[in-house]
Amino acid sequence: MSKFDHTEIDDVIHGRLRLGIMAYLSTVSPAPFVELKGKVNATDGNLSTHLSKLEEAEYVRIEKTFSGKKPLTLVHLTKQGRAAWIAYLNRIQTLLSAAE
Amino acid sequence: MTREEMLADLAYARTLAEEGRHAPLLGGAHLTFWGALNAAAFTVQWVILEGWLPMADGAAFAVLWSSYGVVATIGSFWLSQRTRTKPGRTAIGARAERALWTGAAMALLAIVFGSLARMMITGDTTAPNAIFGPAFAIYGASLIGTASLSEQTWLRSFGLISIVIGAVLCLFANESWAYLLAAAGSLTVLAWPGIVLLKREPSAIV
Repeated sequence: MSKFDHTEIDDVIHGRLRLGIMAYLSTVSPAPFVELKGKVNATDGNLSTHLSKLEEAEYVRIEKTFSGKKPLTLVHLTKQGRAAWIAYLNRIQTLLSAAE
Repeated sequence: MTREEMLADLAYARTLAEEGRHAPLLGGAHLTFWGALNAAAFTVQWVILEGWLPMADGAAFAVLWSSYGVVATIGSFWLSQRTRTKPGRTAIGARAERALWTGAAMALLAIVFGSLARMMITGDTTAPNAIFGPAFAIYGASLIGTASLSEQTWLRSFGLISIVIGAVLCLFANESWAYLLAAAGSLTVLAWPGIVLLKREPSAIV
C-alpha cells in the first residue's frame, strides 16, 4: 500500500491556484491584486474567490488603498499564512519522501 | 492525487516563488539620476577649483551646491512616485535594495552635514573634500549588499570598484583632479548599473 496519503495536506493551500498565490506571496508581499492576477494567470472573479478562502483561513490579508487617485488592492501574506505555507511544504516533503 | 501530480504542482509553485525571488530591481532610475547629477556637480566643482568660472569661489560653490540640493530634492521626490506602481516593488530584492539605499542616504547626509558644519565652525574650507571618498565607500557597501540580497551578482563588481574609488578619493581628497575622478566614478558605479537596471524594469501595473 502506498504511504502517500494526500488527506494530510492543507486543503486551504492545495488548490492549484491557491498554491500559486501562496508561492508568489512567499517572496512578494504585499502583492498588488493586478500583479498577482497576472502571475497566476487568473480572472478577477476566480482570484477573488480563492483569495476569500485564504482570507477566511487568515492566511492572507486584503488591504484596499489608493495609489494617487487610483484604487489599489494589496494582498498580504499573514504570519499564520507564512507558517501554514512552511508547514505545507514540510508536509509535502515528508509525504513525497515516504512515497519513494 | 498522485505523486506525479503533486510534483507538477510543486514545480508550478516553485516557478512562481522564483519569479518573486528574482523580480527585477527598481532602483535603476535612482542610480542613473544620482550618477548623472553627481557627475555634473563634481565636474563643475573641478571647473571652479581650476578657476575657470568668472565668479568668486565662495559664490560659485554656493550656487553649485544649492542648485544641486534643489535638483536632488525634486528628483528624489519624482522618482519615489515613479516606482510606486511597479510590479515586484515588495519583492525581497527590491525591499532589500530600498532599505540599503535608505540607510546609505542617511549615512551620506550625516557626512555632508558634519563636514559642512566643520567648515562653518572652524573655517576649514577643505572640510567638504572629506565627503566624496566615504560616499563612494557607502555606495560600494550598498551595491554589494543589494547584489547579495537580490541575487544580482553582476552588481557586486560595481560595488568593489566604488570602494576602490572611495579609497583613492580619501587619499587624494584635496587634489582638484579628484573631483574629475569622482565624476567619472559616479557615471561608472551609479549611472551605468542604473541604466542596466532600467532596461530590465517591468512596466507599471496600475
